[in-house]
Formats: sequence, structure tokens, C-alpha cells
Amino acid sequence: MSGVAGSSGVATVRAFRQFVLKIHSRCDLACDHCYVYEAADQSWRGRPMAIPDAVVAQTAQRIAEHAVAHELPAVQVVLHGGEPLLAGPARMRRLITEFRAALRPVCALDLRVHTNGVLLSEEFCELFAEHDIKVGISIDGDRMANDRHRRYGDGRSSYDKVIAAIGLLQSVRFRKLYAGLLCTIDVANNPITVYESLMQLRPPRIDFLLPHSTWDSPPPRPAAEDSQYGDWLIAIFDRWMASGRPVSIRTFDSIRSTLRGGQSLTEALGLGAVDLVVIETDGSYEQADSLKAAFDGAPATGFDVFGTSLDVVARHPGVIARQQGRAGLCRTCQDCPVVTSCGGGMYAHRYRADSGFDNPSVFCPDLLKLITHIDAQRPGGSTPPAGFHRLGDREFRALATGLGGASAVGQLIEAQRSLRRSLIAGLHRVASSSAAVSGERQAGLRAAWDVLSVIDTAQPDALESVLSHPYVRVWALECLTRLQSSAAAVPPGQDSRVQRELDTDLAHLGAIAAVAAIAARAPATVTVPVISGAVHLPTLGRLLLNCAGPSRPVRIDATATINVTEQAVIVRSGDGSWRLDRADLLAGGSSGVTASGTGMAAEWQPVRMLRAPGLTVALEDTDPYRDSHQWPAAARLSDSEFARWQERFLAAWQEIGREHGMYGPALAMGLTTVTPLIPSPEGHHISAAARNAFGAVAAALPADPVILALLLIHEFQHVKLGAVLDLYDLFDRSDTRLYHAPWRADKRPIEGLLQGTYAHLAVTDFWRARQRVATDSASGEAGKQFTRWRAHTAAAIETLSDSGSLTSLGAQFVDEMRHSVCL
Amino acid sequence: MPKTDLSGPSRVLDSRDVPLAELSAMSDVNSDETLGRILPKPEQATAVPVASFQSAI
Repeated sequence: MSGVAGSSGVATVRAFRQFVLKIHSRCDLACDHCYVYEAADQSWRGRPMAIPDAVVAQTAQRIAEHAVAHELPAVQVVLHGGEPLLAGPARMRRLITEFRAALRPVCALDLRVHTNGVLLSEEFCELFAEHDIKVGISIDGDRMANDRHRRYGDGRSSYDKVIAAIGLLQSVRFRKLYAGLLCTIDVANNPITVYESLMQLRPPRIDFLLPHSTWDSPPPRPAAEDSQYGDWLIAIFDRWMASGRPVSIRTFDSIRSTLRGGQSLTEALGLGAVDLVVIETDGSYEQADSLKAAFDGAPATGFDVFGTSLDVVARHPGVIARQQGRAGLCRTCQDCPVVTSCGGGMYAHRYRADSGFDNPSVFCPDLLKLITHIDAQRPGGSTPPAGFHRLGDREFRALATGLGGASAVGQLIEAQRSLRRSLIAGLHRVASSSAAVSGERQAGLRAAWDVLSVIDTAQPDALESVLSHPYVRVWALECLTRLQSSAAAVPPGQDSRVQRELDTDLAHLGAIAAVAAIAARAPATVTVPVISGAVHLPTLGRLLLNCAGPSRPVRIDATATINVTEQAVIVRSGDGSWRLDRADLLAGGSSGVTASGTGMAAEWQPVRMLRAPGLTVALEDTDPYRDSHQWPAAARLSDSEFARWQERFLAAWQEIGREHGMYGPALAMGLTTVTPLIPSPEGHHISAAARNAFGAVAAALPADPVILALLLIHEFQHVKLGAVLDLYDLFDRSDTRLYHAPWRADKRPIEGLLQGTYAHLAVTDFWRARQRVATDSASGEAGKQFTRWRAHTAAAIETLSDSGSLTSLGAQFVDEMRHSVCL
Repeated sequence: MPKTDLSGPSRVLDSRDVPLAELSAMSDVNSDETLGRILPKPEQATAVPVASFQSAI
């Protein structure tokens, strides 16, 4: 991923993407709640008032070189203060010009200014309009609320001037500059009055800021209630929700986002890593403005733009400390049920002189109450009694031991069924409204969707027979990814590679509909893609068009039409037409399936089944989306290659039944597909499981069936754990650190380490069993393998436990793994 | 660490009995929590976070 440099340490170094540039260190107001002048840090006193041109030029160069080094597509620079408009229009223009010139060849530049508004003039607005600079304004509500703190040094109100400034931003000429309003909370103000007065100013965005405080300097709580700030925000939240959320409110949007697994939108909440740095008027780098509330000198790094690159600052311990996600929090926060949304609150708000930042926020009761309240308002919020998938306690514990039988895997299968349905429904919704999808393709999607919807109601099992194919999810996710990138990059109708690939992928919905119709004996006509000269029917096989034969090749189009009737499946593409017998297709064999028609001879290649007592799986060597594993998929196997697979698969399943019987029920329940991989030229054993292909494992066929048994067991561990992770968070998803895995030279992300450890739990078990049954020499080798893998797995379990990244549920899962490996 | 209720509900909506047509109408890939668990997250490097600096908007 771009933006992350260096992987030699446990903690990755993140690039900065946000730069707060202090362009004037003084202010024309004397707000008594200001963290710059009224808080513990007084470093402003020794700094130049206005930023010198030399500092501007050097800062722009530093940011440009940082963007180049980390391949950043865009950066954001916030012009800040003090009061930035005190710099004056002329200095401001020079600064903007300098930044635009330095960054134009490198990356996009999002320039913003945040001001108290009293100096905002038409001249400034013209300048900002010329350079597309968004303007944010601080205002604390109605006149009474605003005048409580936001006054001049002589006590005069700033309210009228701020309202005039906002009036400028509301005008037709400058409306596009209006970024929004920031309101610092004073619980003495009526929250609804504040909210309604801000709404009258028609801002595109609002945020409510908790007043910067620490445990040593706590916020005023006039009512002596411990969640007064939470109650204040809840009153606004309820009014906002009742009004239909007429404006974006960053704090609420952030909590709603993180509650559903998305990103935080503010440094004040959530577990996301901080990626901003402050540059003061003298060129000093500082960590974060808010730290000024903690103690004098708290934000300092000791570096400046003249002597130090941003990469060095990115390695500063104070910066790293705010990038640790859940692991960087105190124990109380780590165990808190709302930690993902809260993230311990603002870093500065955790400060206490005797324990530093290793505390919950001084606003902890407020944040807990607010987040819990917002959670409860969501559909499926904190108390969804039904309607959501769950794993039983027994099944969860069984899976955590590394095993899990038919009941546990059955619950995972049912959840996967819902996930696929939601996914395909979501894909349909996105594709049918996307400007990147051509009118012709839209028509094809509608036809396929109509078929699917009818069969879903009339014969749901027929639909499920194709939707449960492991590579349907792989395909759907690929479509969504392409839609996301195409929507931004490719105008509809433009004949580009991206557009053609999107078109082909989306047309595959027709193939899924065709198979559902074939299974349901339902009449249907759909359009499908022709991929690599073949029409693919997922779960059934593929029709290779224009195979060698006596007649001349016919013209084939990029798509084909499939007409499903009671008896037959008619495929037409270009000048060719082929007929397949419907019943023969469902029977699965290649014999008896004829592909005859006006085109050159076509060959039907069915998906063949590997059969063993109690287990039948598809040997998938035709599906166009099967090549989704770590290693490349093999081409269609010959009959003799298939026979070797069948022989060793049977022997492998017998080995599992004899020596590793505890793994049999889960495999019998959940393994549906084995995908052959291209063998390693060096003769290494190769196998894989794809995160989005539940039910499938992939392998190059090993010579020894015992090894095939090991590969099947190993890879199905990944399948099981992936499905558990689809349901539950076992670790902090925002953890970007890399961890040592004893079996690999490179470090792994937390999910990779957990996956590897879980798989090797079964590998350890496998060799434990093999050393008991192998002959003398083989037993020695099995014993070595057992000792090696048990040590590796045990060490990795401790790394996971010590990561600080495990959720409460994840810690219990890993505890069960620990018990298993110690057996 | 105290044991929690392991059998708590997940965030994956049970949509097995919801007709596909209805599911599509109610689905929003940008806000659907079920899909949020499996959809690839947009690459962080491709966009500047929206003013995560708290003292600006």
C-alpha cells in the first residue's frame, strides 16, 4: 500500500496526509476557552506572529518531497492560527501560490482555512474563490452562547462580525467556499437553541467540539452529573435524527460510521491512526494542537522544516503513540464495548500528570453514553435480539480450539448464505444506478435480475445451488471494485480496457441466472459473457466455442445469449448456435451432452466431482473467477490428471478418517470445492484458501495422499476462520502494525498472523497424530514436524495475546487456541 | 479477562428469507453494515481523510 514506508520494525511508519500550517500565531479575539493561548502550553509567546516566506517555501518543499516519497495522490493543508486571516491577503496570496507551485507536479492539494471569521472580507473571499479554498468558521451558537466565550480582549462581542462573515459564505458568489461551522460546547448553553441557531446559518457541515480538558484540568460540569456533555450532545442528536439529519454533523457521522465498521471522520474519535502534523510560524513541527491542553511543551517534537524531513517526524515516538489503535489505549479502554467508535477519545483528554496518557478520556462517561445511545438508535443496534446471525457458545468455542464440527460449520454456512445474498443485492443496486454501466449492459442486468428474483421466490434452493458456489462472492466483489474505480475514471460508452472488463464481469450475472433457471426448470433468456472463447455456467462447466472440427470457425461476439427451455439450453453468439440437453447438464457428466448447431464444433467441459465415502466435492477447473488464490490456478485438467486427483483425494480422505477424524465432520459439511493449482517448479507443496471463496481450497496435487490430507485440513482452517471473521471482530481492524510470524521471513498483519496461527494449530495436530502411526523413520520425521509446529504456533499465540489488538472475543478465541496447542 | 456472552449477535443480517428484490431495495453498499464487513475498504492512500483534524472543518 502506498503511504506506508518501512516494514523492518513492528510498527509501520505512516505518511502524513494532513498538514496544519500556522500562518499567524496571534488572534484578534480573546476567547477564554482557547486552547492555543489559555491552555498549559505557552509556546506561542516565542514565535513570529506571521509565518515568514522562507518558512512557507521550505514547508511546501518538505510536503512535496514527502508526497513523492510515499506516492501520495493528495494531501490536505489547513491554514490555521491563532487567526490565519491576520496574515493579510497579500501574504496569504504568496503562500497559496507557493504551495500550488510546489505541489502541482506532485499530487492534488486540498487547501482549507479555518477562521474566527471577524476579518473575512470580500477580498479574502475572492482570493479563496480564485484558488478553490474552503473556509470553516468557529461560532458557538446563538448570540448569548457565542458571547459567553468568543469576545474581543476588551469584552466586546464578536457575534455580529461572525454572522456577517457567514453571510458572505452564504451568498451565491461564495457559497462554494462554505465548509462548515465549528462549535465548542458549553453545557451552560441550551443544546437545542445552539443547534437551531447554527442550522439557521445553513452550513453544509457542523461539528461540536468538547472543550479541551485533562484529568488535571477537568471540564466544568455545573450540574455535577458525570455525563453532562454526553446528555448535551444526545439532545442535539435526537433533534437531528427527528429532523431527518438535514446536515452533516461530524461527531455523529463518525460514530455512526465506526459503529458499522467504517472509518472515523475525526481525530477526536475512533481507532484510526493519526496522519497529521502541525507546522508552526517558525517552522517547528508539532504533534497536535490539542496537546497544548496537556502540559507546556507537550506538542513539541524538537524538529523543524529547515533541519528535518517529514519522514523523521513520522518516526517521533509521540506521533507513533497516536497510531497504535486499540493497542495504544489503557486497559479500561481496551476492554470497553464502545472502543471501536470512541477510540479513547481525544488523545489530549486522557492526560493526567502522574500517569501520562494511559487513561480513559476525561469525557469517558459522556462518550460512553453518547455512543451507546447512537448505537441503540440504529437498525440492528446494540440490542438486536433476532434477525442477525450468531454462533452458539459451544460452536464458537469448538471453532476456537481449531476444530468445530458439522454444527459450527453449518452455522457459518448459513451466515455465508446471507452475506452472498446481501452482496448480490448490493451489487445489483450499485450497478443499476451507475453511470459507468452502458445502457445495453443495464438491459442485460435487468433481464438477469428478473430471472433471479422470480426463481428466488419460486424455487429458492435452485438459486442457492449456484449462489453457494465459492467464486460467486469473488466475482461480486470484483464487480463492485471495478464499479468503484470505473465510476471515477471512465465515462460511459468509452471503449477502454477498464470499461470492457467491467462489462464482462457484470454480464456474468446472466450466467448465474442461467444456471439458476436450468436448475429450476424455468424458462429464461439472458446475456452472458464469452470469456476466453467459452461460455461459462458456474457450478456446471463451460462450453468451449469454435473447437477444432470439420467446419470453418464462425464469428463469435463478446457475449452470448442463453435461452433456457424445458428440455434444452440454446447458446447463440455471433453467427453460431449450439444446443445442450438440460437434463444432461444437471447430471454433470460430459457423456451424453451434445453441443451441436450452426457453428463449428463446441465442447462441453463439465465440472467433475471428486468422490469419497461421505464427501463429494467439485474439482473446479473451469470457473473464470477461480484464479483468486495466492498461487495461479491450473488450466483444465486432462482425464488422466483428473483420475490422479480422484485416486489421491480418496486416499487423503481415508487418511483423514483414520488418523484425523476430528477434522472430518467440518470438512464433510463445508468443503465443496477443490481448485487445482499449477505445481511449483521446485516441487514444493502448494496450497491456498482465498478469503472470499468460502467452501473452496486450492492445491497443486502432491504425490503423497497424506500430504494432500494435510493441505486440505490446513486450508480449510483458513476457510473456517475467514467465516468467523465475517461475523465477529476478533481484533482491531485498524491495526496496521506488522508482527513476527515464526514460520515466515516477512512480518505479517494481525489478520495474517491470526490466520496462520489458526491453520498451524491444525498442522500441529496433524503431526501429533502422524507420529503415533508412522513407521519408525517416518515417525521420527513426524515427531520433528510436531515439535517444530507446536513451538511456532505457541510462540505466535503469545504474539497475538501480547499485541493489544485482540478484542475481548478475540482474546477468548486465542485462549482456546492456546489450550489446544498445549495438549 | 471476564468471559463475555459468546453467543451475542453478529452484525450480519439474516437475509435468507428476505426476497432478493426487497434486499436490493434496502441495500446500500455505503452504509449496509453486513456488506461493510466484507467489502474491500477504499485504499486510504487514494483520498485525503475528510478534515480529521478536529480544529478545522
